[in-house]
Amino acid sequence: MALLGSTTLQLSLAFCGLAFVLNAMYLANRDGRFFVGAQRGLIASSLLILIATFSLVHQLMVSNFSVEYVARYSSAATPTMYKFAGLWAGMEGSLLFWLAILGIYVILVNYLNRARNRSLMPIVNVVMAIVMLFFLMVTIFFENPFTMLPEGIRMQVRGMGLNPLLQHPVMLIHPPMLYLGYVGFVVPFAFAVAALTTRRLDATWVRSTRRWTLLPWLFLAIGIILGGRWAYVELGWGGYWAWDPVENASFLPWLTGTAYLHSVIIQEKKNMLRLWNVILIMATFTLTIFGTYLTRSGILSSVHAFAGTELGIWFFGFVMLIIVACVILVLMRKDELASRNRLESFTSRESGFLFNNMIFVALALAVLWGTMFPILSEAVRGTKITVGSPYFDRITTPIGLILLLMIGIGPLLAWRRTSIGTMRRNFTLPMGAAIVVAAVCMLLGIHRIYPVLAIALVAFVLTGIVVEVVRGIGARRRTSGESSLRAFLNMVDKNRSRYGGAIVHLGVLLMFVGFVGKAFTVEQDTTLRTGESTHLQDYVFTLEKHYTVERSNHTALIADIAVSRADKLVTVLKPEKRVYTDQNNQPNSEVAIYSKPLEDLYALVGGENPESGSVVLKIMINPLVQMVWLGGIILTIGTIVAIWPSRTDRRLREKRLA
Amino acid sequence: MMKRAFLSIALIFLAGHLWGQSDPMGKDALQRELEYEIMAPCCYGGPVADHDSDAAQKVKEQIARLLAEGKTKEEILDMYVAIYGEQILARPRAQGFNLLAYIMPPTILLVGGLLVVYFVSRIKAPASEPSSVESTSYSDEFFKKIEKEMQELNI
Amino acid sequence: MDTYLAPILLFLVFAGAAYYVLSPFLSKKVVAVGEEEATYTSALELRKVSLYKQIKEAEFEREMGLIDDEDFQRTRTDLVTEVADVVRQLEGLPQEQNVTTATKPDDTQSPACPKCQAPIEPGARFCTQCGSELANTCPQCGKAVSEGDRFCTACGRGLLN
Repeated sequence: MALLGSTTLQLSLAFCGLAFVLNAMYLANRDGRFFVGAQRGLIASSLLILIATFSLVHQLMVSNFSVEYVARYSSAATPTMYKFAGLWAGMEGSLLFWLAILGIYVILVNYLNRARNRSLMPIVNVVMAIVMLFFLMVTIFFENPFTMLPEGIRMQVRGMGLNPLLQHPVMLIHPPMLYLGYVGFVVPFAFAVAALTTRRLDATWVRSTRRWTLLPWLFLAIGIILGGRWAYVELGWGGYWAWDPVENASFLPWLTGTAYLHSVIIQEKKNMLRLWNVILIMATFTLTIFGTYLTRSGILSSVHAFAGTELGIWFFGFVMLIIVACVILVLMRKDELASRNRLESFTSRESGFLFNNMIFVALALAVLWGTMFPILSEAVRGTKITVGSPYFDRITTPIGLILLLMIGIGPLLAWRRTSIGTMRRNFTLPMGAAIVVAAVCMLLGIHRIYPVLAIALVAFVLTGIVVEVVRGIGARRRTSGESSLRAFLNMVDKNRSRYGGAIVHLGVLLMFVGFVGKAFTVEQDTTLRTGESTHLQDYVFTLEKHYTVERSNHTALIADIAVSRADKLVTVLKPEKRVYTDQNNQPNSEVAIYSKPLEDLYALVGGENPESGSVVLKIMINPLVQMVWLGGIILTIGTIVAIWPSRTDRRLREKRLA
Repeated sequence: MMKRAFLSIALIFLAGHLWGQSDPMGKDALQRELEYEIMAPCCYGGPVADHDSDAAQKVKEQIARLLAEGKTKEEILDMYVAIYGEQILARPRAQGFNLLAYIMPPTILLVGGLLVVYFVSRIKAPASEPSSVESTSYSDEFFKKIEKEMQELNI
Repeated sequence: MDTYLAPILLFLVFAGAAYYVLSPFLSKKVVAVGEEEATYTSALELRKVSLYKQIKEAEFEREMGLIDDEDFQRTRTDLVTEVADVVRQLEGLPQEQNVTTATKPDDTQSPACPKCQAPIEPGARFCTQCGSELANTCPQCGKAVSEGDRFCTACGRGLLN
């Protein structure tokens, strides 16, 4: 049945090519039959990709090891759900998965726009067809997941199994989310190109793609946060973000995407920044492809990277093609992109958004600079250097704090122009809160500049948000006499992007609190014999016993560590050191984590010393890590609030006014 | 003025770990810091502090020994660079060509900020535009109609 | 069994997809796609709704004390004026004529920009004076035409191109 997969993939390429040609003919002759034909060709191509994907999943499920990919990324002993995860464990499968998600987006976009945006859709489909063609060609000609093993060795192959690091529930969600995010940005990008080509540069394309941008942005955010979560519970170094090139590659489009989400508000409200928005979404899309390139080319050393292949040059060419095409298109339309409206004042929400945009882009450029610097250095000086987390922490922290400040200031400014009176009224309370919190921190003995600054800024932003919501509820109650809860719900529904945004900000604040916590992590490497104990802050860690357990595909050394505080037992941590027998005895650490609301107890067993009977342990106390995950959940809720159509939107849509 | 502003921004970026302790560092803290500044020489996949490999373990023990011998942080880093090359450092030293790595981000931020200021002041409307005059070209009834439509749409 | 099943299945898949894609071409007549649904007008309608929303937002911000009366009055006046401009463009009314005293525009007059009344070249896309887009005006006489109209209501020129 592997034949089914590889042939449908080739058919898909044929139909995608046909769709592209029909679309081009439609643009030349404007005969509607060609438009419908092209649309259907693209949908057929997408459906064929989905069939191919199901076929690969099927091969993985039935463990058909005569398919090379299946043999490399699963084994008969692999649990069923991780056999499924094999789909994105390797280069070939992940490219097919990328295509499958693109296919889903193509079908959805064409279905949801069946009666709308008719003048944009042909171009939108051309753009999506080009992207699809590229990935189809790469998959079929260079990285075909349906390649069969040579007859001779088929019978001996038992399957190498999935990398144990990837055998974690988070790994079932993290890659799909990331891909949904990455691929999703193709939709607003295609609309931007269509708006430019057809000269329909008003806010229509921006309105039409609002949800198409928010959704991939959210997926990308969830993907990034889950990646952090996975690193934290699986990699065993007590952190969640290492500024690894591949992490950065996913962070970059998220940053520019965030800038875009903010600046389109100005286009919707004031019909300004049309050029800037087009550039931002083009940059975001280019960065997603560039990220795919970074991951797959092997030009940067990274724990995530797939083995280096000759693919790099093709991806590089495609990225260059996108950049050149975008630049030409923008230059051709630059006069029409100029806005006619004006800004009223520096002290306005609009200019706040402009500064916010600049900081997001500066942050993205700084991260990009750091990520690419080793390549630059090697090219210029011929010396290999490392640009690791100490560099990025140093560079991004001040920019992050400025961003935090802007999150606070922005919503306190009025649209158009803020008078002195308004400023005084809005800033007094948040500023007061910030100063008080900073003073309390100092009194509590925290003298490090960045943490105090960060906490003070969090207080500043938080107070701003709370005051705004409380005042809003009050205002609604005065005018409509509703109960507080009803007033709150109605207020949110009346302006979902604003309050959804406020909730997202709340989530980001919590995450910043988590980042501050990272500065207060304490850790200890120690070697303990049974019955011995060690102190870390006010906890006592005692090694109760250690023993070896044989399981189906691995052997585990387990250490039972009793943790007590003030002579009271808190928990028993049971970290494991596993050796996977089906993976050439690859070792892997299973972290033991005990989460309390404000701190995590984190333990790792490094190995056993057979002579002395002692075990090597690493223990950490990570304060406030939970805030990062909680912040992620709140960010998700906020984005959903913003995406969900309000009653007003639904009513306007019936009148075709939205 | 400009120069000073730039210098102070650059200083913030170059300043030592502002997240880190300000009090003089004990041996343990120095050991920790070095463990984060030196990459694991097995695969250069992370600093030795985070890395779970024999090579990383060896480096940690070496650092402890060198510190016990009374070597300073810089001396120890120099030794590792001499053995493994600059790649061993988790972040490049802020000197020579590598200074660029540290100068670029604050420069981008500063130039970006100036660009925004320039852009805003260029497209800024004159201070108090007499918008009320403009609105007189419409009759009250026209406005009433608009208000009515707004009420009906109930946005 | 498997050796026959796969090719048959594949052929069916291919035939189905091919029919799906090519069936539009089986009919001789040109399929109407509904090409330009409300381009200029819908953009203006969107703009109007956006401005209404901004007015409401400003009113709410005043109510909750986020902006003071001074800011509010100025913002509201600006916004209402902008809405008025949009509404007028939507109705295709020349600026000098108040709605209350709107007279029937002279049918014989030369094409003029609906916004600033400057004379315009027939078929021009933008006004040479004020830069307004003239997409929904008749290319012959310059009168405003509604989206979907097949002929200009003022001079009778066909609009389907």
